Amino acid sequence: MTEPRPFLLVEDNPNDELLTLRAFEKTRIANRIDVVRDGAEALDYLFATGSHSDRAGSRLPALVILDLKLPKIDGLGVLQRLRAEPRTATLPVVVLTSSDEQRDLVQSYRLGANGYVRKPVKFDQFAAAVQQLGLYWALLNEPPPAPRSE
Amino acid sequence: MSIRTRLLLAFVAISLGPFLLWSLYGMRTSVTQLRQQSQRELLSSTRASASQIDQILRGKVFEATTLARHPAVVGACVAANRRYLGRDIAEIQAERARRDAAWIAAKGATAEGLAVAATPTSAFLAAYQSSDPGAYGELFLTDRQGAVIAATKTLSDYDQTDEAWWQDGFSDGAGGTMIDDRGFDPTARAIVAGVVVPVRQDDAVVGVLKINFRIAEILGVLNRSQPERKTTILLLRTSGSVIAGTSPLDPAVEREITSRAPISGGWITVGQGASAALVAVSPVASAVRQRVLPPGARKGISGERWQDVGWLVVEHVPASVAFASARRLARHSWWAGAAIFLLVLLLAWRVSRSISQPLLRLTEGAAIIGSGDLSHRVGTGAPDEVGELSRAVDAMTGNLQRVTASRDSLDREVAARAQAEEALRVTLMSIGDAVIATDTEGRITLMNPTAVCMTGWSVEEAVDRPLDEVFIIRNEHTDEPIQSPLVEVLKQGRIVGLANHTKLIRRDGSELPISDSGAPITSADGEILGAVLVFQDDTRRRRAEREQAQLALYRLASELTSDYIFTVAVDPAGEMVVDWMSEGFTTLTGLTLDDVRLPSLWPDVIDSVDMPAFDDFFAELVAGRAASVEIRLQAADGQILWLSIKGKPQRIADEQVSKLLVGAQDISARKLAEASIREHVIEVEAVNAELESFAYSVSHDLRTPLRAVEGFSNALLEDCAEQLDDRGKDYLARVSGEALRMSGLIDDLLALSRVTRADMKSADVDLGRMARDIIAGLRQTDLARQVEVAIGGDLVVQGDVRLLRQLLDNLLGNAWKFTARCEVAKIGFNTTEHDGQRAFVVRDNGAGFDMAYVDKLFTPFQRLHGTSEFPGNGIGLSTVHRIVKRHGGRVWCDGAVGKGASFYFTLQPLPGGIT
Repeated sequence: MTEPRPFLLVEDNPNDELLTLRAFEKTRIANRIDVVRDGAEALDYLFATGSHSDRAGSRLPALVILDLKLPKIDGLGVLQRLRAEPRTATLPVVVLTSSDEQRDLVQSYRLGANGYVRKPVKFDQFAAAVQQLGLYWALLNEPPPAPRSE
Repeated sequence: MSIRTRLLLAFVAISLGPFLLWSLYGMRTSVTQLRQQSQRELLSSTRASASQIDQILRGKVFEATTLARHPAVVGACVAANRRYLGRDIAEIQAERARRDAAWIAAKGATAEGLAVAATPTSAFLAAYQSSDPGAYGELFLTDRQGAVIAATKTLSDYDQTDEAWWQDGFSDGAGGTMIDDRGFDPTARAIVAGVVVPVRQDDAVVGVLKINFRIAEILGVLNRSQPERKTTILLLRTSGSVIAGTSPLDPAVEREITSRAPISGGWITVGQGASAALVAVSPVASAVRQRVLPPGARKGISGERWQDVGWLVVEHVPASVAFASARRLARHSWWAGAAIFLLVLLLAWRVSRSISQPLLRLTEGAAIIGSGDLSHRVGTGAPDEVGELSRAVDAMTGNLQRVTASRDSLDREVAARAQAEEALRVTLMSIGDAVIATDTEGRITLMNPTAVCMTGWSVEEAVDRPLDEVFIIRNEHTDEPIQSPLVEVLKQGRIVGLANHTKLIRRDGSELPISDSGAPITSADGEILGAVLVFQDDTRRRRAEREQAQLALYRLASELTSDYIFTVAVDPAGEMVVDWMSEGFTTLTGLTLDDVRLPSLWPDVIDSVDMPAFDDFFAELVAGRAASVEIRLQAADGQILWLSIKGKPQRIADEQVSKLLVGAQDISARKLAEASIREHVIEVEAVNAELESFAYSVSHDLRTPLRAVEGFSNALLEDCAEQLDDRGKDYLARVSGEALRMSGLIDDLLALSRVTRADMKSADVDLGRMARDIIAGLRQTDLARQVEVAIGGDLVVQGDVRLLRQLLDNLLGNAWKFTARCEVAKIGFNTTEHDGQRAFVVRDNGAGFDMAYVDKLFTPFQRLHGTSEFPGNGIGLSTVHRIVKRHGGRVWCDGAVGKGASFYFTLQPLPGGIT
């Protein structure tokens, strides 16, 4: 069995990163989790450019977990760029953010997010949300067919 | 006055000339004589002065001679001379020279010198000197050897034999009398002369006495004698030098006088112009020998250096004083001569004029009459021969004129009548009124062009036709035929006017409103010869009347409304002129009818930005369409007003637009309100945007740290549980709990802020159904609770469904919460009536509250119960308050501790869509 495709966590806050990873640890998900810390790096990772040019030819992650408030390019900007690119147009992206502002929700879906999960303050709930999200995308959801170029 | 008289006068005037010349000659002679007299007078005065001085000099000599005979003086000399008895002359002279040298060296202040000044003889001389203070200089006495033996003051030398005066006075023992003309004496500080006489005893000269006297005294005497004349008296030497004078003369004049010396006597004239003067000179014929030392010589040892001089008296009088009387006479004579001359000149002029003037007029008159003007009259009216001649000429002209006039007036009358007839004909043909004349039968005899034009009948066709065929008239309103006024005129022989509202049916059938009148034509003896009918086209007049009536209506209308009204007349060329403005409009704009012309109307008062729109507005009206425009206008008080202007064109029949009716309304207040609302909206939008971005960052950033706090507390509990005791775990639970509480606070605050900034969408909302939904949700949270809930019917309202949900969530949630400790909790939601308005009320029988704190209920974070008693953070009612306010409603409550609470609110219907 080949190694499952990794998850990409785009998160600038180290605390949230740690908490998210901790939540994932508590699941039985085997996927590796790659972390990038700003929007520009996320795009480099996904398009194999800049500091991630060595990733050329490697597989896309199974899921991108995207924070909205990010340095350099914000989450919505990243999402827009991904959806504009044919290769990443169908890549599953779930927005994971503190915001419960209506307009963030609406904008995210309008730009083609596959899901929108609010980070609850209570860790139990947060862990539960992350686990369900990981499980759903890792196990239950059928990934879109891989593009030909891959 | 006859010419004869005048000629007589002229001759008298002419003869005055020689008389005047003769008088002038006489006057000149008198003046010369007067001058000569003045000269003679001055000369004799000078002679008198000279003789007076001579007298005085003689007097001084007599005085000195008398004194020299005084025993004290003679005795002193004899006593002094005794010193020389039996002594050798050479020894005497040597001793004298020695003493003199000592005196000179000590300036007389030797013991001997002082002793001399103190002798009784000196005292005697001094007493004599002081008998007439100011008259004398020093007095002194010598013995026959020339030694000083007495003096009125200390002398600087002892030996006087070297002095010229002493040599003269002693004259080698013969004795002589003389006057020592010394001039200025520094010792006496005055001009002095000395009288020198010998002292004799029995014919032998024993000494010499000298008395110096001041010349000023002499001159003083002379001056006192002639105080009224501005005469200056000089005492001169025949050598030409001045001894003294009563007052200083102009140096130039003085030089002129002295340069003529030696002068024997007589009078001379000196100087020029203002300094011209008459000077008379007379020698002092003194018997006393006068000697003088020439200038520069101090002492005359030998007689050669002496000069014998005579004295001269000079009297100097300014010419203006000396010849005053002569000049006065000359001046008066000249004035008199000039006056007589002028008088004669005037008289001569008058006489010549009175002769020539009437003759001139007569000549001119004759010329005018000759040229044909017989109405001219010469009319000099003078009572003389020329006057009579002019009257005769006037009488002749008058007769001539009367004869000529009667013929001329006849000619003129004939011409005037012909002219009047022609004028009458032209008038008739050219007047604007139509005129038709008929004979007694009513047949037309004459028609003027206006009548032709109005009736449509030509003169050729109309003449001889009965008037009824050509002039058909009817009543304008009833269309009934009206009888021609001529019938009445011919019947009654008087002027007849026409009834109102008459119209003329023209030959082509068209109609004209007219007014007319008829009058009979009668002969001089009253017989009716025919009639004349005069009528006018009334179209214009009636239109004007209609317009006046309309204007009155507009005026009335303008008084009933606050709107401003004006009307504009449009002429066929499309030119517009404002022809009426309501009083309000005039007051507002300060414009008068003279100020306003269209189409470029009032550029001064209307904002240039609005000008094109304003012009378009009028263009639209002139094109026959109603129009409206909003413009800015500067009122008379300088304020800028917004006017909403509406206009309607007016047409008469189907013609072009002839009148525009324009109304204007002041909408400044509305415009102002609109502007203010716009500003307000922009402000609110800005505040909302700010709030939005604030809330956004709260939503994102404030939660993140809380999540870390909560998350890591949890991680600590899980991962390091065995290292923590119960207390540590409790602390961590508290940390985690407070983090969660803060998270809740943030959520509530965001919800509250969302109430303010959320867009409102108005829709029908059934509050009843919503309340039931909420209660159902609440029951799920605590299935054990027994709560009676009563929800009324017809609770459908207009409002924003999300906000209303939040409202009920809070109110019902509160009711649920505060009834938690009741055995039987009751919650009600229903409508009620408040101030005639529909209100809603949520009631419960729970913990209630103290009305004293009712003010705090709707303030964020204000709680009336402890958290431990009833959980919550005090934001719910603030949210309720805001939601109600956003719906334009009101919220209030009542309650009491332990007796439940009632929350009322109203939701006024909102105009759709406005936030």
